[in-house]
Amino acid sequence: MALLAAEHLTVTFPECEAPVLSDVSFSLNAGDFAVLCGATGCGKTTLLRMCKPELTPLCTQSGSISFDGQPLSALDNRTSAAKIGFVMQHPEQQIVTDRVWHELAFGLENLNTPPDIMRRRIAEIASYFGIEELLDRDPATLSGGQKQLLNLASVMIMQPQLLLLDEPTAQLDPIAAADFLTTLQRLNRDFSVTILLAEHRLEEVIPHSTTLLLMEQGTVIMQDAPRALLQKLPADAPVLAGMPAAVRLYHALGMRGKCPLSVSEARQNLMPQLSCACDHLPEPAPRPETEPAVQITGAYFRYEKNGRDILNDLTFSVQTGALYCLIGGNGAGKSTVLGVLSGLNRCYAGKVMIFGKRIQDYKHRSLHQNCVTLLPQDVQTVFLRNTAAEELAEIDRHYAETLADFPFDFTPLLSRHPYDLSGGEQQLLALAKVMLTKPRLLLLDEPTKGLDAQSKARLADVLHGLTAQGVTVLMVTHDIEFAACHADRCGFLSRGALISADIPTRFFSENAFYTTAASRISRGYYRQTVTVEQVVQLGEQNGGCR
Amino acid sequence: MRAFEAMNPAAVTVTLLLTACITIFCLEPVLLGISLACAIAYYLMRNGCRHAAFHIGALGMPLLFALLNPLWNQHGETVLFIINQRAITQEALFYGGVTGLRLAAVFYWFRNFSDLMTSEKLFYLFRGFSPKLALIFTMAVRNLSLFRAQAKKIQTAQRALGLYREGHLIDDLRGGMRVFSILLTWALENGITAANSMSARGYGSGKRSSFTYFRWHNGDIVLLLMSLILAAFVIDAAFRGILTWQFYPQRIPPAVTLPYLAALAAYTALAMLPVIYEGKEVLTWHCLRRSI
Repeated sequence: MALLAAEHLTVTFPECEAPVLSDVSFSLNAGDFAVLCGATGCGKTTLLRMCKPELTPLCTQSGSISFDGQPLSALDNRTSAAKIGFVMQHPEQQIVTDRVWHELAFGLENLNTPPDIMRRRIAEIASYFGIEELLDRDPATLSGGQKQLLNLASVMIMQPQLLLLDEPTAQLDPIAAADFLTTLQRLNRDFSVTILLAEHRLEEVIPHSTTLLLMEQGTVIMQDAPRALLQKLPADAPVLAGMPAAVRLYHALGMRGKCPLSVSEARQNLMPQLSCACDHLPEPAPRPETEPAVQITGAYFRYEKNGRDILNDLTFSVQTGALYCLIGGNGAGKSTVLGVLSGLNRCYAGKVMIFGKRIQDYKHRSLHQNCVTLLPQDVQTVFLRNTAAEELAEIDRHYAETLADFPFDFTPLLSRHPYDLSGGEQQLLALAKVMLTKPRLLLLDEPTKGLDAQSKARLADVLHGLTAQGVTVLMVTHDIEFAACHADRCGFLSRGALISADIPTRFFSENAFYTTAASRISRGYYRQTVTVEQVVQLGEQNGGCR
Repeated sequence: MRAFEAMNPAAVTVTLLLTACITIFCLEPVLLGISLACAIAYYLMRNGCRHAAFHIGALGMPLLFALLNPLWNQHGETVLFIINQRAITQEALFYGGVTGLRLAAVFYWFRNFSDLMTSEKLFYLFRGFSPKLALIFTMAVRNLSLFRAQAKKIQTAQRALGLYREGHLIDDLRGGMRVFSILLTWALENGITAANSMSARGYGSGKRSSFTYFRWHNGDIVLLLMSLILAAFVIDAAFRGILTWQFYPQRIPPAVTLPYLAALAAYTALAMLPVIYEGKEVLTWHCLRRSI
């Protein structure tokens, strides 16, 4: 029997004409691991919230949702709190108390659980999630990944049957995200918890999911097992952009038969069908040599006198007008490099040159006047005003003229509050605000964090537009797929030093572990194909699939 | 037996507050000396020889007060010398020293108290009065630090944007105002998410229970009873005037009688409780470790 089912659900927000959700029907069985995908703004969050009575927004609704055979509205407060768990996107803001053990106890306290049972449940859940060491810590001192695991644990402690998750890994780095998703799989497998997950990171989730729900413009257009659903998709469906590389290859090459979902399936079933007569694409024409915009030589930096060196003999340079991606693990010193270049951190040894001038010689904040600007990871910190228009006017009253060349049109967003924009729109608005200071060197810290495939593509267009205008862009990122598709050059930072730097095709094809899914799939068949587009291009050159 | 720190926070609070209150209200130099010595001993046991500046400041207090008091206070009959036609008396000097001693002792006790009482212990104490208030208290503690961190992040971001000219006061002030106003918006946004997360986990769905790791063991009750009995004995003696000194016009200490000595002994026992518990723990640990 279905655990969660919606029938002809239509939801309209007050003072809106068009419904946010229209005629949504789906059903999940107990033990399902369902992934909800669709572009930003298609109603995923609203749908999830409709399934959790405490979070249902103010709206008029028709149709019905039932949980475990009875209508959702008939559930009493306690049952719905305990049986339906909800995890949101921002790890920090969901935490209520100032001790990890108290956070775990919070839900049980609300249910009036006796102290002895709470004690046992906290010990159990802490050991299952491996957070016993953290019990006495203040959640503010945890990493983003640990915070999100804590949020999941403090929901799981109430022993829910259904777990709703709204983009829980959007704010996490790839390692923490993989960790979180693995934990979800374990919960599903070990306790048969039913999971409904809205997610952009589909590469790792889809192979493990049992059901895929596809949303478009406020309605669930398809529901099926992932393989069957993805096979049925038309090759030009926009939602494909966010799917695993294996699926995109399958459709782009117009293949038949079983659709591969993971890298290993693609290697076994998809690659053998392609001819390898020509195993590499011609080298792209090298970029014309330009003056270096950034030149760092033998730089050392540490935050504390007796701490360790965060930058350790760092030497690298970025050419003017290039889009340079600096990648590397957590704590490799990526953000610190940006701090150094934006004048927030000062190296204690080594030479830092920006446009041929030593950074110390930029006096009186002249470094930030039409020269270098840094867009921080949390773009909300850039906004100070009540509307997007005021935000832009703050820097330049004639922003419309200055932004005439900006490769994105803001007109529809101008009257809205910056906090009300979607993640991708916030990113672009912040970028526009920053561009009004007319920088020649733009530093970006994780600009693709939390963005869906379409927003990423839009961001890439904007960045290419800027480099074409001669702006140098240096971004640090965990997003190797983005770097492979769009960078002019990639650098790998480890323990505070630059280990290697090259153009993306060579860079990622020489890496064996730190590389893109397309490169892992085509390895051994083709050389130097690191993006899906390249594999497709080479495959078609060789005559498509046999 | 557990270390003093690990005892039930309520018992610890009662012990320390009684010790400190007697120090505040009982102006008896011998008793104050004992109080100060015990407070310092406990402080050193926990912190070692660090925080020299605190020690110098606190221990300089008796000297400072001894020097200052005669300047205002002309009472007392033993004149030592005369400055600017003001008589500096031995009694005033002594009285100043004693009040300084009292202040120093109280400083040490409260420093010990604030070192011991982490936010979760305070939460536990609060909870006794009102669980709801206690929850608000922990949320406030948490949000204040979040607020501060976000303010710093915004300021750094704005600085890297190069919005403000260097050394321009008006720019900096206006910037500060704007940062504050957006912080309020941010806090509201934050608050909505937190409220959602609370109600999603059943907050407000009916009667709440309240969880804590602290429990009452027999040892805690023993500690509580000991400190109550000892303090009652000393306070009783104080009310009967056994511990009363006369400072002006002539210094007259109380008679050294058996009740006087007994009261001092009781106070010593009370003030030594933290040191005894801590010392016993160290000793036990030392013995146990030898057998590992």
